[in-house]
Amino acid sequence: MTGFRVDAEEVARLGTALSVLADDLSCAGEGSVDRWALGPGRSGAAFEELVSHWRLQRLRLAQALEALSQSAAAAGGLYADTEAVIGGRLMIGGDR
Amino acid sequence: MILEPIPGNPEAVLVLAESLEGSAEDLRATLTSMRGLSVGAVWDGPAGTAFAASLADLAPILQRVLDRYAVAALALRSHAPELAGAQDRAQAAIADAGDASWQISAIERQIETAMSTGETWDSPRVQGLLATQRHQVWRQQRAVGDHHAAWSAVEASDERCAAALAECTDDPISDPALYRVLHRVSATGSAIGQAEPITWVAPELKPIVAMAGTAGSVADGLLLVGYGEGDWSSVAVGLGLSAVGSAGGALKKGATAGAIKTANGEYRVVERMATRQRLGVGVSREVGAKIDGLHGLKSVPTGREATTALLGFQAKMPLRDKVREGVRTSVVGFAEKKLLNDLRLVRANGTTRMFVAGVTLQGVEKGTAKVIDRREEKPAEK
Repeated sequence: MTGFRVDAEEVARLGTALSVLADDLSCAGEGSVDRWALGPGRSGAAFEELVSHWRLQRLRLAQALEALSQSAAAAGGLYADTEAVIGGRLMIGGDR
Repeated sequence: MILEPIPGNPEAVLVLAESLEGSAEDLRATLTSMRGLSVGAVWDGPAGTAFAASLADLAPILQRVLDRYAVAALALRSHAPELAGAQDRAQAAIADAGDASWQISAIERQIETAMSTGETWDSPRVQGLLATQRHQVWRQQRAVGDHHAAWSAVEASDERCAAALAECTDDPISDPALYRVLHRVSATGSAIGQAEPITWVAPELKPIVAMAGTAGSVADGLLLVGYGEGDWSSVAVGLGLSAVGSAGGALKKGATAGAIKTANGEYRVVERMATRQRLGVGVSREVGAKIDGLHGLKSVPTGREATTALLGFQAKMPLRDKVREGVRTSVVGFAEKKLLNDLRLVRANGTTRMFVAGVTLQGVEKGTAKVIDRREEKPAEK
């Protein structure tokens, strides 16, 4: 028999957090804009390399996180709604 | 000697460090939530288990990103004060050297004046001026030395910072070399010369590179084919086909290529094609169709075709409406059948996305053509 133990609000919150993270990752800036700040030498190029050149993984990660965030937000909302509806019905039944 | 100030902005470096720390903190919080989930404290059940498994796949990548950001933030925080200090020392040295240089010139003029009024090199006044000038030369040399030391200090700090950044960049999430080349070419829309690495990787794209005249579109195509990045519409637009209104057609033809409808009505794949090949086939077929269309423009309706056109034009109402309705129905019916046929072909090929992009793009092309027609039809304002 399948058992459930869900903190619906926490699941929904995680969905939101994942969505924010996905947005941050997909909109992350390119390091070339900021490299000038580091001054002369190799550190500017190294910074650009660090910030910019994981684009492929960054976009894939953002895509995966967004998909998971939607699942979590939908599931969290659904669990919370179900709890509220059934709780409401039981309360009405108890009053009678 | 001209002493250069040290470029860079330490305040901006600190802002970058702060931003990286913020991102690292967000990642840490998300990873903590994810780990809480995976031990079943928050979402215990079949869906929760499946969800936690999906998250667990992403956790190592997120951890690497966190490590990158955290280490980089530390490196930037160490470098910023070194940069600021060196800039201050270099600036002070530049000011000191400038002042000393001005003093040296001024003393030279004073010596010239003294010599012109009868003073000699041995006179106490000239000797005094020479002593002051020697001090200014020493001051100038000291400033040059300070400036050099400031540059050396910032170079050493820069080396340490670069090494720390490079160390945390050397991980599996870095972009592969081919991807970098493609993305660079795609982003810059660069000249044909830069297409060489692409055609080396995918020789079958050489004709397209030559025809399109740009490497950017081919890079877009390879990014899409190889890495699932971008969309077909942008590839077609980039190839320049939109200029002749053929981009959508090329994608549609590419999507349907290799599949046929057999005599007994079945849809079968007769030739398995890689997406790159499809793009090439679609482009060449569409260009061929355009050339045929241009030849067709030179011919005029003759015989029965011309008579029907004339009769249709002269026909009175309701008959003319009936004719038009009949023609419209048959054309729509044909278009619907053609679309249905194409959809079955692309379903057999598994190229629905490419086909849908083609249909969408054709809609845009036709819409644009109508707007242009209307603008041309509009009478000039008096």
